[in-house]
Order: sequence, then C-alpha cells, then structure tokens
Amino acid sequence: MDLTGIFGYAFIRHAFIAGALISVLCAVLGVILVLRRLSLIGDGLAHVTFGSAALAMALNLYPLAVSLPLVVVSSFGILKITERTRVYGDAAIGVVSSIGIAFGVLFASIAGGFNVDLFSYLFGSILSIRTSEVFISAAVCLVSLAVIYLHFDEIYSITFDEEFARASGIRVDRINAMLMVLTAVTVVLAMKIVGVMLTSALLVLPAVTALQNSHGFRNVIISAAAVSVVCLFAGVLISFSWDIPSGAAIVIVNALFCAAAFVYRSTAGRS
Amino acid sequence: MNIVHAEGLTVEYGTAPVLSDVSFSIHQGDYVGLVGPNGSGKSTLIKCMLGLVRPRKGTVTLFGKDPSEMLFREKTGFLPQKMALFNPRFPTTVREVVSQGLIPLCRSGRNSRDEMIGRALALLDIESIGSRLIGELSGGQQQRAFIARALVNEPDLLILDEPATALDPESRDGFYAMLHNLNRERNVTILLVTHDIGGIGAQASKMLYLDKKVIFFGGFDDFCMSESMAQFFGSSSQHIICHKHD
Repeated sequence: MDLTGIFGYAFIRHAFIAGALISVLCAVLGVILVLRRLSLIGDGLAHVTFGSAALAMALNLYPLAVSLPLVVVSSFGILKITERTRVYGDAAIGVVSSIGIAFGVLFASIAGGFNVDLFSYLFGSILSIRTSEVFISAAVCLVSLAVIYLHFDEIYSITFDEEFARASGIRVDRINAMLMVLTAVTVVLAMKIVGVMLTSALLVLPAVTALQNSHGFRNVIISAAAVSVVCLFAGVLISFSWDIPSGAAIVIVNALFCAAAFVYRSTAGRS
Repeated sequence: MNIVHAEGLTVEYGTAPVLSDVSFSIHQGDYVGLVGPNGSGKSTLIKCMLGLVRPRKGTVTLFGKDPSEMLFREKTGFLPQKMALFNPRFPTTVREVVSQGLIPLCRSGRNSRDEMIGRALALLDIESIGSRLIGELSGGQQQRAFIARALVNEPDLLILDEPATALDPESRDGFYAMLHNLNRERNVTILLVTHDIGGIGAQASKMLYLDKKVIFFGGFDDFCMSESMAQFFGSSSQHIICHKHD
C-alpha cells in the first residue's frame, strides 16, 4: 500500500483529520457513558439523528443544522425522563430512540423514500466529508474536548461516586446536562463517519477495549482515545484499499481490537 | 464558634416524617457521636447538613452558611454510608479515589495536591497500595481509602457515616485512635454516625441520640445516666459501655 500516494488525495486527508478528532471525542465520552451504564444512549440519539436528517431532507435543509438542535433536545428529554419520572435510563433511551426512528421513516416516506443521501447517513460516508464539514467537526471537537478537560475532576467524581460529588458541592445537574449536550453533538458528528447504525460502536467499543487492561481512570480515557484513532486510520485505509464501506471497516477493526484486549486480559490473568 | 447549627429542622419524604423539629449546635472541637435506631433519620440529617436534602421547615447552617448555597465545601470531609455499593469494576486507583476529596480545593497546585494525597495515604497507612485499583482491595483497605478521601483536604469538620463497619477490630481501634488525635491535636470537629457505641463511647465528648426527633443531646457521661440510653441499649449494655468509658 502506497501511503504517500493515498495521502495525496484531499478526501483521504479530510477523512483522517475529521475522523481522528471525532474518534477521540467518541472514545473519551464513551468511557464516561459506559462507566455510568449509559452505553446505549449513543444508539438512541443516533436514531433521533436519522429522524432529523430525514426531516431536513424532506424540507430541503442542511441536515447538520436540523440534527444538532433536535438531538440536543432529545438528550435533555432522556435526562429529564430519568430524573423526574419512575423510568430507568435504558427505558428512557428506548422511548426517545423509537420516537426518533418512527419519525425518520415517516419523513423519509414523505420525501419520496430512501434516497442516496439518506443512505449515507444510515451507513456513513467518511470518504465524502467536505472541507467545510472538516472545519465544523474540528472546531466542535476541540471545543468539546477542552470543556471535558476543564471539568475532568468533576466528571471523574460524578462518574465514580455521585453522592460524594454532590456532597462536595459539585453542581452535578449542570455537569450531567453538559455531558448530555456533548454526547448529542458527538453522535451527530459521528453519524457522518460510521452512520446511524454504527455510531454506538464508535462510543462503546474503544471504551470497552481500554477498560480490559488499563490502570486508572485517566489511563483508560487516554488508551480509549489512542485505540479509537488507530482503528479509524486502519479502517479508512482498509476501506480505500479493498473498496468496502468505511463505517463497517472502522467498526470491524474496533471489534478486532476489543477481542484482542479480551484475549490479552484472560491470558495475562492466567499467567 | 458554631460549626453546625440546626433549628427546628423538619424533613418529610412524601407524607412520612423523617425528622421532626430537630435543633442542636455543634461547636468547634466537639466530637459528637450520632446514634439512633435504623430509620431514625441519621443519614437524612447528614444530607441536610450537606445541602443534599432541603428541609420542609427549619434551618441548618454549616460554618454559618446555608450548605445548599455553598459552591464548594472545602472545610468539610465526608464519608458516606455503604461505600461497599460502589462499582468494584470501576478502573480507578486508590490515589485517584483520594484525590476526589481535593476537588473542593480546585485552586491548589499539582505539587500541593500530590503532597496532600501522600499525607492522607500515610495517615491511613495505605501508601503501599496507592497505585492499586480500588476494586482489587479487601473491604477494610477500601474503607481506609475512602476515609483518606474524607481527610485529604484537611477539613475542619469531619462527617463520618458508619465508618468502622468494614474494619477488623485492630484496624478499628487504630481508626478511633486516629480520630481522637485529629480531634485533640488539630481541633477537628467530628460528627460520627455509629451503632458501635462502645467504640465511640471512650472518645466522644457529646452524644446526639436521634429517633426522628432529638431524644438526647449532651455529654457522654450524662448520656450514660439517661433513661434513653437504657431504653435503647438495655441496662446490661449500658453498664458495660459506661464502665468502659470510666
């Protein structure tokens, strides 16, 4: 494989830059969500993203502009259903997710069925990322990562022991709301890379891989980010070289890393 | 100086009363044992003091301020009840757990934080397990780590909710001795929720006996002589505990 030649293509460079940033953000948030037992929130919000993308196409609007606010509102919906009703988090995700997918099918039908654009949101199209989307993704990712870095201690505290965090005076509700917004934004951005169907994998798999062998919360986050970027690069290269769908390639590479981490852990545990 | 002051504190969960017209004051340097039967409102009282539960009536202040309005509680150390319920698979080291107690001191520098964590680990004699994962430790070692977290910010007020439950007898004696030193040498005010009346009885300067309302609040010697002591613990236990205290 001629790497120099591959990087000569602008669309490959775009894919790597935007993909790497979004992968890091997914991995960092993924660790927090997995440890808080909210792994499937990515799946639920991705379904809402599909519904909002279908709505944007039916109205001939830019999908990102419609998806971002709708998915942020939906993430707050999940948070409020969990806080104020007797519904557990997984059930709240299920409620919002099914509403999202139902509206998606409805809007797609109104727009005249599933066209090529909508399929690109379902299955991702990292190799078709435009320059403007690279800049938007980069800006949003860098701001999101900076917010997480600045509140890292509070996020750790809430993730490990929410009661102690509240007793310490940390504004837990504000941090939870902030994490919901970041998750919603990340899911919308990740949709372009791996698609609605596989967004959850980008959040969950690097986190699960890192959790097998890393020592300490900070190390788990760093390992998950590293695994996620390596898998993205490998997936894009495999996709380009073998002409297979990029989203599927990235997720399969992630799954292989996860399996290797399981094997290493069980082998190291026996020795 | 009043460290904690409660006045007519009343809390209800739904329509069920949990605390009813509770009033007391804890002064600087006091070592108070908070006792009472299960469901008597001990944990709820602590949650009120930390601003986690809002009373229906009455007020509580911490260092003269409404605790729910204090952004960070840098003067308070807290050990919650039932730490055994934490997720043992959580990938965090003992040092990370202890560092959680420093979040209220967010402006302290990295070196200062490391030093404070080191001092807390040394105080609990757990320096050697600082880099171990919390889930890999024994119940007693985990409890020491959580106690170190409560002490790491060198608080003026220490609130401990049944801290000695996971400790073996030797560790428990050492733990009570450490609390005694903190109280006497550093003038740390201590509020300790416990059912181990024999353990705390040898040290506490005051007892707060709660059963939805304040049944008794005063010195330990007076508590020994009180009817509530005999009612709650029985006359034979009363004799053993109070004899030990002598």
